[in-house]
Amino acid sequence: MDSFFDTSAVIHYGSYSKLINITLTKRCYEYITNKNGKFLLGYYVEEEIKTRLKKRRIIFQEVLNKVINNSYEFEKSNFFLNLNERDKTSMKKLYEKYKNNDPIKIKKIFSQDQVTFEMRIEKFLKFFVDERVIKIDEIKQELLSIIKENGYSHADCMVLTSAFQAQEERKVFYFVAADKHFDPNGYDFLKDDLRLKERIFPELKNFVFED
Amino acid sequence: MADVSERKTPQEIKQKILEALNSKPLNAQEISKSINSNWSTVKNYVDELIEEKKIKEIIATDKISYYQKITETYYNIPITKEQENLFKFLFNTIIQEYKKKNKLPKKTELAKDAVDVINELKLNLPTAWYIYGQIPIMIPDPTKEFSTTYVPENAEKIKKTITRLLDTYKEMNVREREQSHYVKYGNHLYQLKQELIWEISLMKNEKKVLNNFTEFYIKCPFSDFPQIFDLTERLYSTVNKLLIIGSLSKFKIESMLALESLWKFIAAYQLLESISKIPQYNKNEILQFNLGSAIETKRDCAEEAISNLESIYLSELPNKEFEILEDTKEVREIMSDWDGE
Repeated sequence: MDSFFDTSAVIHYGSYSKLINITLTKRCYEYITNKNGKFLLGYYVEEEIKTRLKKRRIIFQEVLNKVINNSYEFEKSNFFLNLNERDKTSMKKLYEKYKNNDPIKIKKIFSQDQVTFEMRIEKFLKFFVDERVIKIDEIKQELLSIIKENGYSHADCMVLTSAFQAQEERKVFYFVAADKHFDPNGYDFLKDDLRLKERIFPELKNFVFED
Repeated sequence: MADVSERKTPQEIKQKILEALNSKPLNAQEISKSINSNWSTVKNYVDELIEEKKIKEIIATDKISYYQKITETYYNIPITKEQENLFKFLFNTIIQEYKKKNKLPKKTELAKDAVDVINELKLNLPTAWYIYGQIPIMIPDPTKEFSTTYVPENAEKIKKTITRLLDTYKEMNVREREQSHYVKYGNHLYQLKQELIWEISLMKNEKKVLNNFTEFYIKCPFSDFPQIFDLTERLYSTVNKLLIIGSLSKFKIESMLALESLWKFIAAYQLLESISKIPQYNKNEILQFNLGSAIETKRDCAEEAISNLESIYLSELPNKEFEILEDTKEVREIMSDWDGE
C-alpha cells in the first residue's frame, strides 16, 4: 500500500540513531527504510519539514548564544517569537548539559547532530519520495474548515486536507504519522462527520499508538 | 516666504542647495525651507544639479522624493567640508610620499596608511570597518587627483607619521598588510575570515577548513542580525555536508565564492554598525539613505551563491546511511522527543 507522510513521521525518521534505543524514531526509520509501495508527500508537508529543520538550527544557536554569553536571554532574542514551550524545554536541557563547554566544541557537536539529521531527511526527499502532491494553493478551504471544526490545529488541518485531496482517485493509502494529535479515536470521530460521508479516508498509521 | 532667487545668482542658489544636502538627504519641502525659497523656484536648480551629476534622487514614490548629494565617499555617506579637505590633504600627502620612492600605492595600502594616520593622530575623520578592514569613509582611490590648497595645522606631524608608517610596512605584501592591520586593531573576526578564505583556496586539509569555519562562525554577529545567522548557518552546514560526502575539495571554488559573497554581506553590516558609533551619524538615516539597498543587494548575492552550493550538494548526495558520532549521542538523546511542532 502507498503512504502519505505527516511531518512528524519524517522528523522522527531523521532523529533515529542506532546508538540510541527510542521506539518511536526506530519505527519511523524502519518503516521508511523498508519502503513498501509509493511514498507521497504533500507540498505543505515539505514546507513544514524545511521550517522545522530551520527551527532546530535556531534552537542550537540559541543555546550556543547563551553559552557564549551567560546573560543572554532566550526570550529577548530575535528568533524567539517562533519558538514554543517545547522548544524552550529542549534548549534548557541542552544548555544545562553543555554550559561549561568550549563554544567551538559545542558548535561542532551541535552541527554534527544537525547535519546528520538534515542529511537523512534530504536523502528521504531525494531518494524515497515518489510523488509530490497537492500544491499549497490547491488546498480546499471548505474541506479544511470541516476538519478544523473537529478540533485539529491549523497545521494538522493543512496536512489532513492535503491527504484527503490526494486520496481522491487513488487506491487507499496509509496516512503515516508519529504524532499524538492524530489519535485513532479522533480520526474515527472525523469519519463520522456527515459532511465527509462520501469521502474515502486514508488508513491511519500512527506510530505513537502502535504496540 | 522671501524668495532667495531675488538676491542670489543661480550659481549661489545651487551652492546653497548643495550645502543644505551636506549632512543628509532632504525632500523638496526640506530643501525649500533650508534655503528659504518656494519649491517651484528651487525645482529648476535641483533638476540642473541632477543633470550635472552633483545630486541624485534616491527615493521616489508617488508622494515624496529625496535628494542626495553625490560625494567621493563610500555610498555617498556625508562628510563635512572640513573633513573632505583633510581627507584630500591626507591622501595626497601619502601618494606623494609613495611617489618619492617611485611607487604608486595600491588602494588597500592607501586605505590602511590613511586609517593608521587617522587613528594615531586622532584626526577628526570618519573611518569604519568594511570588506578588507577599517577604511576611510572617503574613497581612497590612488588614481584620483586629491591635490588641495588646504593645509591643516598639524600638517608636519601628519607628514612625519606617514614617512614613518611607510617605512614600517615597506616589506609587506597586501595580504600581510591586511593581516597586520587586523591584528593591530584587534579585530578577530577579520583575522579568522582571512585565514578561512586562505584555507579554502588551498584546500589541503578539509578538517582544518571546518575548524577555521567553526571559529569564524562563533565570532559572527548573529544575535543582532538574524539574516546573517540564517545565511552563515546554511553555508556552514553545506560545507560540512560536502565534507562528509567527500566532495568539498571538488567544489572548493563554489565554496569560496559563496564564502566571499557571504562575507561581503556581513561586512556591509559591519560598515553600518561601525558608522553608527560615530557621533555625526544616525543609524536609521544611514540605513535608509546610504546602506539599505547595498545591504539588500549583498544579501541577494550571498543567498544566490549559497543556494548554488546547496543545489550542488543535493545533486551529489548519495543514497547511503549517515550516522551520528559517539560524542553527539547526548545531543540526539535530548532532541529525540523534539518534533518541532
